[in-house]
Amino acid sequence: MSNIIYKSISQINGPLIFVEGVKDASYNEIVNVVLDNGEKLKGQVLETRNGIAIVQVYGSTTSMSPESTGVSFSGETFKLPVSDDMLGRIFNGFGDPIDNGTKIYSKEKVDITGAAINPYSREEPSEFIQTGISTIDGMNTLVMGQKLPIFSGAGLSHNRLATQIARQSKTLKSDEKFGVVFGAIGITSEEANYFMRQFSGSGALSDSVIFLNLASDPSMDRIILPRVALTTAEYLAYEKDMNMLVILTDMTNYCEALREISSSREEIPGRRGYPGYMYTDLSTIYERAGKIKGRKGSITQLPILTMPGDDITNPVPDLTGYITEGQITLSRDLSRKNIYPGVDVLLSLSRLMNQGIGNDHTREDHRGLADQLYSSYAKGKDARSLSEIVGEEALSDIDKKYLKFAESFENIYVNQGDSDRSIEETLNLGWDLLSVLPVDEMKKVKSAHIPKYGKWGNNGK
Amino acid sequence: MENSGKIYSISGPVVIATDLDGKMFDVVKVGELGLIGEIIKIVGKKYTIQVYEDTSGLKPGEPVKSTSKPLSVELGPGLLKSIYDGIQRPLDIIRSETGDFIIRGASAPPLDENREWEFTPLLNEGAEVKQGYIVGTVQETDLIVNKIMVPHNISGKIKSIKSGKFKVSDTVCIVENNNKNYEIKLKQTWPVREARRVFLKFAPEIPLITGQRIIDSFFPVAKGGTVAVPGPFGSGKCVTGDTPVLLGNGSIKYIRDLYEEGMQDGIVVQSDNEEYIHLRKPIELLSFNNGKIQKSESTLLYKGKSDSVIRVRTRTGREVRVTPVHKLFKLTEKGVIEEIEAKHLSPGDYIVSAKYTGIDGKNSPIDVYAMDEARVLDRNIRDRVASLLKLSYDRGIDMSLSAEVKYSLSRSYNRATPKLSWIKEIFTKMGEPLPRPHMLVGDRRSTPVHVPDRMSDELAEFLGFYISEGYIRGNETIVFTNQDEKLLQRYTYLAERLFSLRGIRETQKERVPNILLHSKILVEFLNYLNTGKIASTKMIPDILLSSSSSAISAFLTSYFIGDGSFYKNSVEFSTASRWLSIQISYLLTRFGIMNTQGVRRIGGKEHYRIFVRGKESITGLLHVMKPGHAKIDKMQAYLRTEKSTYNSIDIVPVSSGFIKDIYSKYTRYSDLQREGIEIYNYTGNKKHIGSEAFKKFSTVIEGSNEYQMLETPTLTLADSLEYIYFDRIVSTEEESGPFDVYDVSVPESGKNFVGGYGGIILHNTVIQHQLSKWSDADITVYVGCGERGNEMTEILSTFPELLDPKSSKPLMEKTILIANTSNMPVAAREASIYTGVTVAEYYRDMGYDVALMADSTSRWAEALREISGRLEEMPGEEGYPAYLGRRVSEFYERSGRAQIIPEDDRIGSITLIGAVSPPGGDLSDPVVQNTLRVTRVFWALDASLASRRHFPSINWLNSYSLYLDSLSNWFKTNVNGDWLNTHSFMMGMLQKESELQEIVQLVGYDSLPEKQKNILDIAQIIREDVLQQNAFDDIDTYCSMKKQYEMLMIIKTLNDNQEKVIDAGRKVSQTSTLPVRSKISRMKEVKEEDFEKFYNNIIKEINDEYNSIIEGVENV
Repeated sequence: MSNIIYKSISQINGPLIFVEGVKDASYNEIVNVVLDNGEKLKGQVLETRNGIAIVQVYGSTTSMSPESTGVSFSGETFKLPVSDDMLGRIFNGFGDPIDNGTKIYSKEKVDITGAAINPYSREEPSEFIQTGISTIDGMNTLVMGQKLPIFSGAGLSHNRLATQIARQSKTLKSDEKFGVVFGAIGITSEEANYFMRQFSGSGALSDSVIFLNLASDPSMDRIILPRVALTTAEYLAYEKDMNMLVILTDMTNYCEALREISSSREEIPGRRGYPGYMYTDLSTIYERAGKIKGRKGSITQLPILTMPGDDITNPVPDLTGYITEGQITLSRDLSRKNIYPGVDVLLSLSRLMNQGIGNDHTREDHRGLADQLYSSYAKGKDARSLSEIVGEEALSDIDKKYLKFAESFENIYVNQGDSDRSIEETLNLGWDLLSVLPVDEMKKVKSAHIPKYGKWGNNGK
Repeated sequence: MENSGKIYSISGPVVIATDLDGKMFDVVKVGELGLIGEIIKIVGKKYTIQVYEDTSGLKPGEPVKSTSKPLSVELGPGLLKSIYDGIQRPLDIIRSETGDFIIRGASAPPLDENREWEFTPLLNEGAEVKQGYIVGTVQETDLIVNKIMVPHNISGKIKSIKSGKFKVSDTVCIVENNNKNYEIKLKQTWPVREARRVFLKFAPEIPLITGQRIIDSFFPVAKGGTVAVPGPFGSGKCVTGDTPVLLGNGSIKYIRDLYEEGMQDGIVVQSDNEEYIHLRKPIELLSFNNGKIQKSESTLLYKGKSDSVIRVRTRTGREVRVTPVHKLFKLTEKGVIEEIEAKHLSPGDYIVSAKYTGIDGKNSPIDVYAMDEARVLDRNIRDRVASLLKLSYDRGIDMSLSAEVKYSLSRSYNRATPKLSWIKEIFTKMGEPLPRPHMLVGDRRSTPVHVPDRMSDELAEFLGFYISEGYIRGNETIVFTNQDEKLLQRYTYLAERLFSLRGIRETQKERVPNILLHSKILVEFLNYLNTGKIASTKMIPDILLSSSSSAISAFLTSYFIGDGSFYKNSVEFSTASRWLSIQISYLLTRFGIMNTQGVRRIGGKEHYRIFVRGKESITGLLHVMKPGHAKIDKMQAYLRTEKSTYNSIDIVPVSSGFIKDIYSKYTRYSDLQREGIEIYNYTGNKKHIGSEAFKKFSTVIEGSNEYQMLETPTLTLADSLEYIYFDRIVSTEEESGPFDVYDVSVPESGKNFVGGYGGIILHNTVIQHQLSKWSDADITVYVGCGERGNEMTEILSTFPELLDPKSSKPLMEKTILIANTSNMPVAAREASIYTGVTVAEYYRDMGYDVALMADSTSRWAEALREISGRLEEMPGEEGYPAYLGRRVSEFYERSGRAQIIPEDDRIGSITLIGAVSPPGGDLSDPVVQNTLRVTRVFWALDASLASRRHFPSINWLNSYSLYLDSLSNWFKTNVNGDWLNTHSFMMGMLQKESELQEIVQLVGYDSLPEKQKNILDIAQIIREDVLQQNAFDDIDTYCSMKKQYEMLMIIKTLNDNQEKVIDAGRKVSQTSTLPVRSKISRMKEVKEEDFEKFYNNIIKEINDEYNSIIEGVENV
């Protein structure tokens, strides 16, 4: 049926075209639209009934006329050919290569919508992923199968952080294959260049699949991209036994696209104009993270979203927070101090951290050390705000020490630049920094760990 | 009958079909895949269908089949213990059939079609039946009998009825009516959106008695009532983190460390102020149970916060810090062991401590590979390394050692000494078992050291010397100091024998001689064992603590020779390490040797001392220690001269009156004298009876004819004296926090564990799932709708492990779980609540009381909102459909207590408990508001109460129950005619208290008039002694209505008297020291059967004591 070209458009209305005389177009089927100047566009069937199909065109309907435009129906919903040849390649939101390489041909074609994991089949995530970032590994540990978003703001360094994580992430078990799927949604070409450079420059590309959707690409592509990316990831995870890290940036662009399409379909808007089904829609993306009993691979998600106006109550971070298991929050204050990555550990949380750390996973002192760093940094920040009021001189000795700790914590522990720290290094660095505080203040760590890992000299004094 | 039509158009989840013969809300199967949908609109010949699954790929013209039935569930035996999704697809079966993902169109029968059930008929052929009649029964689980009922709209005469084993679809009974046959099967179906009909719904006039005072007496729920409750919460009574806990293998750990280790291998459940861990592998503890100290197990650890703790110290130097509501075990003057909250303990009380734990371990192997930098000298191992490396080249297995190392290892074993870490890597990669090296060396030039395989008596003895008098100088020298020549020799001998190390003697002028052992490996070895580095952190390694008794004996002997002394009549072990002193105390307890702890400050440093005193204890110690040293011989000599056997510590501190009472009733002076008991020593208030004497005393009583009359506690007490003793409290002091507090739960085995600084029996908390706690219902249905997948996994994995507190059977035996995570089809989420309530109705119809917990209804309402949006309905508040309120109330309307059919008196009920979780905790959310409008009870859980350790943490000002009026008749007839007045009085007091507290903040307590001070006083008693209830206390966990009412009456009487006192010009403060006041504060601990007597007495005492104040007479 793909051979038939319909020239029977009866109506063009914004991004919607009405094609008449179509017998059996299927819902959500992919449509090819050819303009008289030879330009080819894609579309999708939005509504179908006997004799008429309403098609949403991806792209602009500028200079389209009913007489001169041909429409052919592909007969299929969006199915993605998947293969492990995709590793190391760069694609657009539809899964077409944009790296001048050959097209992917595969017998295996998978529907991109995905199916829900049976709750009975899920396995509790418990394995540590080393991102090489101290503030994440040490204090908000990412666990295989988790979905942990990065809440950022416009102009913060989330893109740099994302590529760094993509480059550095690995598991500590040497026999496990690890891969990254990187989905860039609605980014500028400048950013896209940055990503390409980063990936190809570091050699990390060989274990990654990259999907790029530029700001100038149609909004509809943005809706498709995360599904294409996750379908690829699921194939590599569950068929090829790889542990996949899926980085999606920027989910705010995704939600904006969702809103735009919803309003062009004249749906009834919910909060701040976002559609009412956004919670379910986002959950069908985020819940594709997980581990399945009896399968080797897993999908871990690291969605990145920029909070409009740094407002955490905006529906995008709000609904995301309902679905995901914690969040990593980037701080504008730290970023202003030129600290990279500016993760605000006090506002960050990983709900699954406990499952993935400790003796069998990282090191026995991890939990206590993380709690100690957290509370010491919180005290240091308190001391800092106190010193802003009364002056540093008026602080007690112990407060001064905490103040010093907070400074070095930010400047050394948080501010690691592009270095890739092993979990061992991260933990040891934590102990190093804590040693500016008196050993008596170490109330969160186990006493047995102080002589073993602490840096207070042989006697623990 | 299926009839088919065709798809006309598709738009999202909304499909329009033609040529269909369907009715509103019939379930249809759409397209080739057979996606499940429901007819929601009929216009002419066009049927609008809402599809539950994704519709991508559907085409116009594909078939649509109607099942001619609305969305229904199958009801029959096998529902219990099942886990379903929102449209009753069994998740476990779906998984085994379609794999790990729920694919579109997947389906499986909800009930196991192949399982056979034993059907027992109750009716005979010829019996006239109508709908709802029970024709027979099936034992569905150990707890529940399923009653097979005649389905609705069937009536007639039973033509035939079978008995035996049947599958759910088999016909067990045929009913004939007008020559038409109706088959009755074990299963039936019912449309979910339609409430199952009942003959008569009763007005809510019987309360669901939960035994919880804040619920039953303040905010009662009727059987069949509705409750809204925000989120879950727990409860706890705990000890501080630095409390040592004695483990089953003999080692001791801080409870905080236990908790942190538990986090590595357990499921952590967190809420605002507390956390618990369900351990995957239980930890072994010791508990006092049935008169013995025995091993016990715990799988639950708890961590919370407390504003204050109480430090309890005893005469024998034991010490523990517990929360004020934590219980300790106290011996009463009448020889009964009672559990009592720490805040009610005072100096002079006797609490139960551990005397004899009887732990015996075994000598464990030592993991040499922990010292991974050490190099191996054993020739055979080096040969093996060389050959394995060669093999690895051949097989192309990569070893990540440097090429140089590999080269030298594979070439010549003479020069290369492989590190343990390399050996481990090479052997592991080659799949070979690790070899057991004996000779180790630090670097190439250092002395070779032999390392013992496992713990042995000699190693224990060496450690005893080292821990008492040894230390590490620099990085590689072990120094042992002593002036006893014989001892130095023994030490040198042990070093040679155990480690092949030659001790070097260092003698300095006017200094005690030293023996030096130079070996980096030995230093590492001692560090690996973890013996502590300096005097104040010295400790006994865990591996030694869990060793055999003979190794412990060897250790205690050498430690005593090294650092102990015997002077006058007491043996003393001393150390600068507190932890070590506790360990020694526990080690002695293992052999039943009584010991006392003490501290002395010398030169600004603390010295911890363990004393063993008295002939009996020293004899015990000598049994343990090995003879052959002057210090030990001296003890033997002392025993030969010492005659007295009275031990003032190991006593049974019952009152002399009590002894006298038993003595005069059951035995004669001469019988006792024959056993060596001079009974007048104990009846005349001269001294407490010793435990040995008490044992003999009770043996004599047991020999008497009348002893059966005696209450058993006295006799079991005598039996337990081998294991415990009674330790007098010398001080209790309250410390203000906040503190992190911890607890472990020992649900079996006496609900206690041995711990503290010196073994004290500590009571513990049991945390149960709030469900099993709140419902005394026969059946529980849990609907999890719209939760996170990983969270639902947690429920699915922990729920099946919980036990029903009443029957001790798995809770799953009476539970049905319905799980629909957020990414599962949204329409199925919307349906899940109806599926749950229909299942609940089915069991209600059998005459059971059912509780349904829906978590959370907020997510369900969101599903409703979403579907409404898809149908392009006009939105109401916050985008929710305008009919949200109606749907919420329809759902809650399916609760109720009802008579099922008029012919028999079968009555069942459904109590609906809906959790609401509004965004940001905002109670003005439309879902919350609509829920509160229809639910009649609201239990406002309050995190700030929980953090103040007020449990159950239901806020009494924000909560309400609208059943008060309708239940008041029941309370009047079954409790007391004055019940409602009492209730209003209590609520009034609490209300006034909150108003007064605002005034107090402004003007201060002292400037209040006396009457208002009285209100604050009484309200405090209500809060602390009535509202607070300990769900984990055997007595307090369940409080009968009668006791609840009498407790309230006591407070009311107290208030009346206090007002009289004030009218007479006296002050409230004058009454606070009255003896009756402390009795009131303990009333919740009085047993149900004793309460009537207690009540009558206390009312009289209140009247008497207050009258005496009015009359100006000093109270007694």
